[in-house]
Amino acid sequence: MSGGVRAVFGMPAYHRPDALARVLESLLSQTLPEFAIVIVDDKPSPEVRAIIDTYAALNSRIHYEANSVRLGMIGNWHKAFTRARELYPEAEFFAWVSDHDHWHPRWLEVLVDALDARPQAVMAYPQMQRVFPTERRPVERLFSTEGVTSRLARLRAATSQMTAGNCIYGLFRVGPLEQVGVFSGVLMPDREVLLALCALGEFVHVQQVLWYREVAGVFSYSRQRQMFFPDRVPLHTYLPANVQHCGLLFWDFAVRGRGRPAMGRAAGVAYAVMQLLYSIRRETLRDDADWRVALSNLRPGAR
Amino acid sequence: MTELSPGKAQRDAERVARRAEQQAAKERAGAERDARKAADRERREAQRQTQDDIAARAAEHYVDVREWALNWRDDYAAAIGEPSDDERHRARALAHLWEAPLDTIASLRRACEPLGGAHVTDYDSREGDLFPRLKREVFYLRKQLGPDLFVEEPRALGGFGFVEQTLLFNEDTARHFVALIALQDAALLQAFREPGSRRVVWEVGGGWGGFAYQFMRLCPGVTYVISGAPEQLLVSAVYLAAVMPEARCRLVGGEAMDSGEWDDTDFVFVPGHLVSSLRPPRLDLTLDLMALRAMAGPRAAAHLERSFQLGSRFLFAMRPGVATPADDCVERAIERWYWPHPVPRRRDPRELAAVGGDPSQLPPPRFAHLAGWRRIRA
Repeated sequence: MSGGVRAVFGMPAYHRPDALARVLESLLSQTLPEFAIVIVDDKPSPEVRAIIDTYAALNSRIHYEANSVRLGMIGNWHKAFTRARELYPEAEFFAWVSDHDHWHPRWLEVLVDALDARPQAVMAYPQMQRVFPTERRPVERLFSTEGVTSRLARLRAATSQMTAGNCIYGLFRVGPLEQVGVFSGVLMPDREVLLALCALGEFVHVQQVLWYREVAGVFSYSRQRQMFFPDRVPLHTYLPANVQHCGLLFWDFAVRGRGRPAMGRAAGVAYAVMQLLYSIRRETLRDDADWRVALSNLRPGAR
Repeated sequence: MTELSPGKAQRDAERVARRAEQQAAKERAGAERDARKAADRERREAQRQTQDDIAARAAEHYVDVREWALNWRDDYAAAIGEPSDDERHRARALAHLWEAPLDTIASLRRACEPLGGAHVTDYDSREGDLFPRLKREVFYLRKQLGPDLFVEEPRALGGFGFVEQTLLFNEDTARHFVALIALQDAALLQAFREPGSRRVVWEVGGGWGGFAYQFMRLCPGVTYVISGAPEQLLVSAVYLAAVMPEARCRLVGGEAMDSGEWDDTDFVFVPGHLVSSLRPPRLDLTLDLMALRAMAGPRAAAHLERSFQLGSRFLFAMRPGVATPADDCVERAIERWYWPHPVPRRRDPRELAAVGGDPSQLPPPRFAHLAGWRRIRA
């Protein structure tokens, strides 16, 4: 049943019957056919079920599981990965997919080629197009650590240039992803996973528009807490996100030794601390830093 | 007798040597100039000879293609029934090519106006807004993307346009260049430029062959099918076979081609009413550069359905920037078989800056592009 699957798409779904058919068609149209789709539904409904049944009848590599209890976004993303691993342990690559964005039919083929061509890379992601209700805009900004051999240089680049919300929808090598662990209970967990992965290898950016992202609501921490933790919001999530990430990186790399053998525990300590320093620098220097906004509000005439 | 002082003698000797050196340099420069002129003459002569050869080839092809196209003219007219106004106008405008003298074929490109849009006389002068607009469009995009995708207008068979930085271009060249960029932005072009198994592209209509020429220059490992009215194919088949002498062309009627023949052919020309008998071993991309909008709705829909039936994974369509009801009708037909993805237009930042950065203040684009991904459940 699982023979010939090189990549698994893990879809943490949350009630988008309006968009799901088109998403599934974009995934099932991949020019590289060696893939499977694992859907974990955190808000099951008969409409969604009907759509999935229609496509599952066409392709036996669609697996659907409805959660009996809502897991929240972190739990659902985590489950999408673990179920994919259980169902397809031999798959080399994994990608999270949403239930409302669109994947170009060549997405998998191009990104697998990119990773095959570069064994030191742990993730590849394409250029993205933002889909607004009345127009579309390609995102020109690119971030890549291709050819950067120093893990701290990769960390510095990722901390200052990476848009985690786009990169997390890239194609990952399963081994490194499993090694760093996926989606812990912190804010911006996608960013934390990617920063941890930077320790193990390069990120490759492919300059072709192969992913079409629906522009959703505005980012906010309170929205994240609400979506991530359906039962009880952990107290540590009220700490700054970079402090949460530093603590988690320290725990994973320095205490649990998850970076070994490539990175020892002492290097793990340095990695966690440097992440904090780089991110403080980034937060201080960015154009929309809090202090800049506050200063501009103090100017005469500012609202 | 006065004896020259040693200092003066030395100065004289130096002066003579200098003059001799200057004279030699002058002669060298003269010889180089003559050589350059001779080389230029030779180059021009070679170009003229090449163009004459192309014109001679075009004349030969014209005889064969005309005979073939004439055989299909009545069948085509009977099969399509009532032509649309655009088709009727086009057929009338191209009617003279059925009995064209040799000098018309030698400057065939100048007779393509009803199929392309570029008017020869618009390029007599650089005054007016055409030259600055085309120059801005072509050179801004070349600068932004690199020269890679730009294919200039061939000078053969009466190729015309403005020359800037040694490049010949006109409205058609620019339009096709923008379409190729849109194809690249839609992530459809790259696959055709990579080595691998031979791919098949079908262009509906095909105009005078201008886009096919550009596409095949960039993606030579492709079998390019053009379907259209016989008078259209008369132009495109003669033009492409003449300007691309290395290309293997095939004029197809109802007969089947086996997969080996498909692999060994660069251009396949087929009358538009026979597309239902077309059986390529695969179809990777269907192109519509404003050909479907000129057809009556049901025929446009039938072409799209055929593209879907042949398994064309992608469709690429161009339409005017401001859509007419005919364009809306085509888009609805596209949506039945393909998921539409509008390709965002590339904007010159200077253009945007001129309207204070507000895109809504920009005039509508001249053309819009749409990429279609084949539906699984149509």
